[in-house]
Order: sequence, then C-alpha cells, then structure tokens
Amino acid sequence: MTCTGSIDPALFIQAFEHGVDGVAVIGCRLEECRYRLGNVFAEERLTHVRGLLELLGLSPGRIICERVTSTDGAKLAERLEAFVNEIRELGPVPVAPIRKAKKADKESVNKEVKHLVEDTKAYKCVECGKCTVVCPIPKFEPEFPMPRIVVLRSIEGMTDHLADDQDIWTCTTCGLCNSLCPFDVDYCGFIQGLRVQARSLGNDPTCSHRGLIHSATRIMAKTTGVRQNRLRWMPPDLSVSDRSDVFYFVGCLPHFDTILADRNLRLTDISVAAVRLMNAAGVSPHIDNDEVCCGHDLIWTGDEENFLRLMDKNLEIIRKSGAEKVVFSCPECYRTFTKDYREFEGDLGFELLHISEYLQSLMDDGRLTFPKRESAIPVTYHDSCRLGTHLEVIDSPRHLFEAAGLKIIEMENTKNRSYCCGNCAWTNCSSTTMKMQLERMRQAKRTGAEFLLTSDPKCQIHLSCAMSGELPIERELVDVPVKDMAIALAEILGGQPGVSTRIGRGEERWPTPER
Amino acid sequence: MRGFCSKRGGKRVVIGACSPETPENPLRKDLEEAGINGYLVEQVDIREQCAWVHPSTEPATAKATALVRGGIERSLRQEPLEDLSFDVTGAALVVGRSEFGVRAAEKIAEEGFRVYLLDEETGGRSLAESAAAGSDPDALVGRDDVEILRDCRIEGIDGIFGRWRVNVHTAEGSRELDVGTILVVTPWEPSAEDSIGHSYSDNPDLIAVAELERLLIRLEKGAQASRPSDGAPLRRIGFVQRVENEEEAARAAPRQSAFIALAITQALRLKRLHPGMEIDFYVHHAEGFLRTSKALSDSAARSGIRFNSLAAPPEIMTEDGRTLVRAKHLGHDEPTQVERDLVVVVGGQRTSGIAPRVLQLLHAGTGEGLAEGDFAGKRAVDFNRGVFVIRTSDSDEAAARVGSDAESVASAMVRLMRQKTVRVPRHVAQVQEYRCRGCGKCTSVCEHDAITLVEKEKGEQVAQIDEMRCEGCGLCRVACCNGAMALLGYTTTQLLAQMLGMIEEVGD
Repeated sequence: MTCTGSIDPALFIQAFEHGVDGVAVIGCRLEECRYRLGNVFAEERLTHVRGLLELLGLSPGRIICERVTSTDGAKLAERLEAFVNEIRELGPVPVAPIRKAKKADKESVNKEVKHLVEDTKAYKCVECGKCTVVCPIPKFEPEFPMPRIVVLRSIEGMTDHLADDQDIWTCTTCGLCNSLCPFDVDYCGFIQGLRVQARSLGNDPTCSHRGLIHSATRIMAKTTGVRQNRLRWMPPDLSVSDRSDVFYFVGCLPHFDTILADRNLRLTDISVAAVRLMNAAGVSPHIDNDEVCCGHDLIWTGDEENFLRLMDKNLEIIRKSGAEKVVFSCPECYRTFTKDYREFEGDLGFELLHISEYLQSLMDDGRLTFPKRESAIPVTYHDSCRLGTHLEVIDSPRHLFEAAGLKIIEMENTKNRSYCCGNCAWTNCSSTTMKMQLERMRQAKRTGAEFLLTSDPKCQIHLSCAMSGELPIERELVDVPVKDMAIALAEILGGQPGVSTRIGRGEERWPTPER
Repeated sequence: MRGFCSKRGGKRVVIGACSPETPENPLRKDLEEAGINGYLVEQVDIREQCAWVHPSTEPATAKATALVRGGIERSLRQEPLEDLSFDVTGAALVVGRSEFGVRAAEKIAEEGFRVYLLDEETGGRSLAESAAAGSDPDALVGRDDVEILRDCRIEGIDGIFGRWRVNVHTAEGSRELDVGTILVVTPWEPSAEDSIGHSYSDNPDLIAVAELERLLIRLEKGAQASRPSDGAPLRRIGFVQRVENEEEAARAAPRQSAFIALAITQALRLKRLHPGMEIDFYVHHAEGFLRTSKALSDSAARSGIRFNSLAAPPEIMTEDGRTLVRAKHLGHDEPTQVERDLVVVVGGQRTSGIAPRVLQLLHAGTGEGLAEGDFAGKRAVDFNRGVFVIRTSDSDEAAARVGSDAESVASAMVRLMRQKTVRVPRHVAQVQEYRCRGCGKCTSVCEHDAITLVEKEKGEQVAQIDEMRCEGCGLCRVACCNGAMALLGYTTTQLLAQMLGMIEEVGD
C-alpha cells in the first residue's frame, strides 16, 4: 500500500470475517507523512474500526498500529512478538470457517429460477407496462431494464446473464411495481430470489463502504460464544425490564453510529427516543444484548446462508425472553420479521409491531397523551418503502403526528405510492441514487414543511448523505432538516412534567411545546 | 522467464524474490523488453519478510508460500498500464540564504543548468555570513548561469512535477521562474515560545536547547560560563528530557532522538570549552536511543558525559532559588535528588523557519518530524517530484559536512534534469463515473489539488482526476463511500484478493 491512510476499514473487517485473528498495521511515523495527512486519517479510521470490533464482541486489541522508521527494526520485532503473544492469549476469532464456495451449475440455477417464477406468480405478467411507468430508476437511467423485462428474460430461461448482470443489484426493491401490478406479481420477491441465484454464480453487487456493513453482519452471523457490546447507547435512566412482555428490537443503530462516525448522525438517539416514549406510557421493554442484525441487507444481497443463521439467533433469544410482542423502530427489521422470517419459519409465536402502531395502541388505551399545542408545526413525512409500500403501515404515524400537534403536508409521492430514498441494502449506489435523493428532497422542500420526518434510519442516512457533500443544484431547493419520527415525538413529549427530555441530540432541536 | 513468456504465451509474472517492490526493478525492465507489461509483474519480497526475520525454515517457508499466493491473486487482477511521463525543465531553484544553498547552486551550475538562488529571509546564516564561512555568493554572480535574487518573497508555486512555475516578488516587481527542480534549505531553529513548559519560565537557570545554542555561541566567542540567575560559575549542568504530559509525549516521541542527539553535540561543545564541567543526562528509557545512536553516545561517554537512563520521567523543581532534578534510576526504588547550576530541558520544542510556508505552496509534507529528523543536515528529503528539502544547523558538525551533502543533493537534482523526461508509475486515482455521486468527499481530502468536480450534464457533477498532479496516496479511495475512486495498481479488489489469497481456505 502507498499509505496507511489508504487502507479501507472494510479490509480489516473482511479479514476478521475470513478468520484472521489479528491485524498489524505498519506505517510511517505520525508526523512524517509524505502525503501530509494520510497518517492522521488512518488513525481516525482505526479508532472507528476498533469501536466496531468492540460492538461485535471482538477485542479491539486484535488490531495494532506501529509507526516506525527504517532504524526501528528491533523495536518493531519486539512489538510484533508481544502482539502475537497477546493474540495467542485472546485465542482465535470464533467465526465459522469459510468454505470455498462451489459455483452453482447452470442447470440447478435454471430450476431454481423456474420455482421462483411460480412462487412469485411472475408467469402472470402480461407486459401491460404499469410497472415501467412507476419504476423510479429509468427516469434517470434510460437503459435500465424495467421489472417486466427482468422477469421476461427469466421466464424465457435466459439465465446466462445472471452471472454478470448488475441491473438486478441496481433495483432498489422499493416495491412500487408490486403495488401497481394488476396481476399481483411479486417483483420484489422475484428480485430477492434472483439475487440468491446470482450470488451462487459468483455475481456480487458493488456495495457501499466496500462491503464493510455486510461483512460486519456476517461476523454477527458466524461467530459463536462472543459477548457483544450492543447496549452502550442506553442512558442509565431508561426503564427496561428482563421480564417484560414487550421486546424492543433495536437493530443495527449502534453499528451505524460507529461505521458512519464521521457523519455524526447519532442514530442511537432513535432507540433512546423509542424507549422514552414507551416509558412515558408506563411500558418498560425488554432489550437484549444478544440480539443480532435482522439480516435484511444479507437476504437482499443474496446471502441466504448467513441470513438464516441470523434469523435463528434472533428467534432463539426472543423466544427465550418470553415476550409476546416485538416492537421495531426500524422498518427494515420489521419487514424482515414480518415477511422473510415468516416465509422461512411460518408463525413466529409472537406479535410484530412497528413503534408507530404500538404507540397508537397505547394512545388509544389512554396511556400515552401528547401536550396540547395551539399552532401546528408544518412537517412532511417520508414513508419508507418497507413501511409504507411493503407493509402498508400508513395511518398510525400520521395519527401520532396529529395528536402531537404537527400538521402534515403531503409530498407528491406519498403513502403506499412513496418515492424511494435511492438505495436499499447498500448495493450499487451511483449517480442515479444521488439524483433520486435530490428529487425526494426537492419534493419535501416544495411542501414548505419545517422538517422532513422519516421512520427509517436508513432513509435518514441516505437522504442526509446526499445533503452532506457538494450539490449540483442550489442548496435552497432541497435543504430541509431530516428528522426521525420517534425523536420528534419524544422531544414534543419531553416538555411535559415527569418526562425526561434527554434525547442526547444537541443541535437542531424541536421547537419546545407551547404551554 | 523470457522463454516462458515468448514460447508459452505467459502474460503475468510473479517473482518471489529478495527486494521489495521498486519501480526501477531490473527484472521488470527486462520483462518489459520481452513484451510483458510491467504492471503485470508482481514482485513478492520474501527475503525481508521471511528469510531475514524467521530463524527456522518451516514457518519461513509457510509464510513465503502464503505471500506468493497473495501475489498471484493480486497479479491476476492487475491491468496493463502505461507509465506517466513528465518533462523536466532544465533549471533549478534554490531557496534559503545559507552556505548550503550556495554550495548546491554552485554544483548545479557547474553541471550546466541554470540556477536561481533566492535569498529569502529564513533565519540562520545570511549570504554574507556564509561568505565569511568560506562560500562566496558574489563569486557566483560572475557566472551567467546563476542568478541571485535578494530581498524577495515567494508568492506562489504552481505546476506539476518537472515543470514548476514560481512567482517571486522582488524589489523590482514580480518575476515568474520556470524550473524543473527545487531545493529548499531551511535552518534548524527551535522557536522560542514553545521551548519550555510555561510552569518553569520564572527560573532563569532553567533553559531550553534553543537558549543553550545562543549561550554556546557567546561562550565559543570567549564569554564567561556563568549561572544566568546570579553570575556564579557554571560547574554542574543537567540535560533533562522533559515532557509535560502523555499527550505531549506522544506528539514529541518521533522527535525525541533528534533533540537528544542535538543536546549531546551541545554537551560535547561545552566539554571542549570547559573539560572540568560536570554534565549529566537524565532520560526516561534511553536504551533505544543509545542503541541507535551509538557513535554519538560513545563519544559523549569518552568525554566524561554521564548518561542516566531512568525508570520514570525526571522531575525538575525550583526551591529557594536552587534548581533540582529528581530522578528515579533504573533498579532503584527511591528517586534521588541533585542540585544543578543549569538545567537544559530537552524535547517538546518545535522548529521554525521557511520550510512550512514554501512546502505548503508545493503541497508537500510539512510534518515537523520530516524536517527535524535531519536537524544536522544529514538527509535530503526527496518528495519524488523533484522537490528537495534539507535542514541545516549552525553546529560545527553540520558545517563540516556542508560540502559533501550539498553535492549529493545537487547531483540528485541534476540527474532528474538531465533525464529531460522522467517516467513515473501510473499509480494514480481513477474515477468510475457511473459510481460517482459528485459529492466532493474526495476533493476535500486531496492534498494535491488533483481532483476537481466538473459538470457532466445539467444537475450532475462528476469527479475528474488530474493524473499529473495525483501522487497516488489513495486517501480519496477511502473517502469515497461508494467505491467510485480506484487507485490503479492498488484497487480494493486487488488488495482484498491478495489478502484472501494469503489466508488459507478451508476446502470441502
């Protein structure tokens, strides 16, 4: 490598995923960087990688960074020897060994695709072209094949292209095609299944952050007997209970806060807000350190094997907790349980609820009330594809906003006809993604709302990513602060006596409620 | 290998061999002549990595096998590329009014290249003082090929490797100088404000290396050696390595040995003037330094300078006008306390001078360590772009070497200019336009102004690389969360394949 500053964090995590027990970075002394700041960038990134290892339950001591000059040979040898001994003491990383993936043969792939055509009713497609009209991608990428073309190719047994087709990874699986298809073809399911087959042929997507996120997820799937450190985000005054019949599934918020540390998104504020809202209604949920990623990003990138490992781990800990309800603040986790877990596992034995649905039920029972407000704050709401289009949870967030004294101004594309934030499962992010994000932000700005509320942390990550860099258009056309729904509600509630106001976010506070 | 390539149509070669990768690899040159693209030749260094560091054969061989396997995987993913070529202007710029610069300018001119010698205000010896020391700048004026510019200031430096355009402000107005190579000579001079922790500033018997340097110049001119506070004779001097806190220790660490080395040369000068003077060094964990700078510490020992290696950082105290050093020697449980007439604090200093400003204009590293590592003018730092930086000091040691050092730097510059066209490996960034979101995260980390955002179509921007400016550091590659930036020869795919190749896979 030319500089320690050019080492991608993904390389570290991928090394551990593949069974490496320790990584030593050897570079120039901190102040002797030929490129001025490379070493400084490297050190910053190492801090984040070590944080991620800690979250995953692997010792941060598995990475050392030695900065030396050509005369430090003896010192380096000494340090490396000590490092090897430390690693020996820590023992091997308990990940299941990687098997050299056998490439699937064409025949079995063809057979699987045939099944897929049956399962998703793709054979019913009459090429009416409704999906073509709603698909958001061709507007910016005219050569992108419409959902029906992908299906058609497969029905005709043309699976050869699967080994190197990148278009199946470009689809954001927003589900608009599904919801408009007059013949109930499940295009999203079709793409999901097709991706598993593509992967078996060695066709991998280009993932954001060079696959770091997927790799970390796979470590969660493949490690056994490690103690994760997932709960550092919890302030001590949150009320939780191990015997609660409500299980709050946090998801990967702590991981994103670490991986995207330079973006300073503070996504774990969402989980703090969710628990505060439940606490305000007298509910102390169960929160589990042994929870793992739901596997959304793995199943949508075709890694069924590790997805199933994650599912088994999650179902086991939820069943062990004895909870009857599982509440999600992340729509992706919610969808994965509701659709994918059920598809593999049938009835899960517990009820699944989005936080907005759960809060509404608490409000209906009179356990949760928001302070009265004289003038309503204008906001707009971005239905995430998972929540709005896939699961049709549309009304409960809106009821909550209304009760909290917010006035919703709807965007052009809304509810179960929402507009995707541009990316799903971190695959094939591109200039098209950027254009879709700007289009969505433009829609939000046109409403004149003070905030763009969203329920999906991933939408928040993606939309704010577009806003965090240089823009090809005037910023005034698109600058609306993006805010999570749970945080907004908790902040409004926070003005009431007896309810803690501490969400943790310093800047861009919600206007305090009027008395 | 030639036979393999020509008879069996081999396209890629992996060599498990002795030396690390270098662009001048002779084997690579040879294979290029046989029609193999040099970028498809992968050299795996198994001498330094295996033979030299592992005493037993078996693990060394296993490691060598793994490294070669990694090399093969990486080589399989390399693309054939063409070198970049740079034209080098046959003129040189020497900045800094020191004796060193004068000597170097002289050498370059002798080799037939035009030289601009800039007498910019940098501290250190002026040209006149240099003349007194043996080099006569005015003698150079007689040469047509050396132009001395006095009382001037560099306003800007633009261009690329080999073709720098330097904007100089002189009394007569602005001048544009086109040069192919640049030498920046900058004096070693600790800056006063940072010399000692503020907590000691009220004790006049407690000084920093920089202040001792000034005192030494007076002593060498015949002044009396007396205690600064009361004028009493100076008999016992303690050199104390001092850092205020952990954070500072970490910051100062790379420079410690340079400072200790300088302090020893000062101590030797003191001993030369006053052989009876009692001189002690108090240094926390000095073993490493003593090992690496054996010649210097040996000569200190021969002159009767004592070197105390301590188990903990030494403390300095002031009591009733007396200056005390509290030191915990290795192998002793209790610290001992001694009184010194003068305590010299070693470490924690910064340097000043012209280098940072000019280097910034050149987008070259200005790390303090870079320049301080060669406080006595030991090493010229070549930034691979025809820019050389050398630090000199006024010490006798450095002065004695001026001639030979100036010659070696000058000949390196001449070598570049004589080549006229220099080939540089195309290890530069490349944009994959489809992936590029035009967000500009890459431009914000680029130190070399090599990336610009350009409008692709209305409402869409895309990053564009100036390959001639790109230095191939790869920072933009990591800054891009989207994989739109590749570093040719070191792409993430190649590195990952190399890494996985080294890890043994579990078969079925």
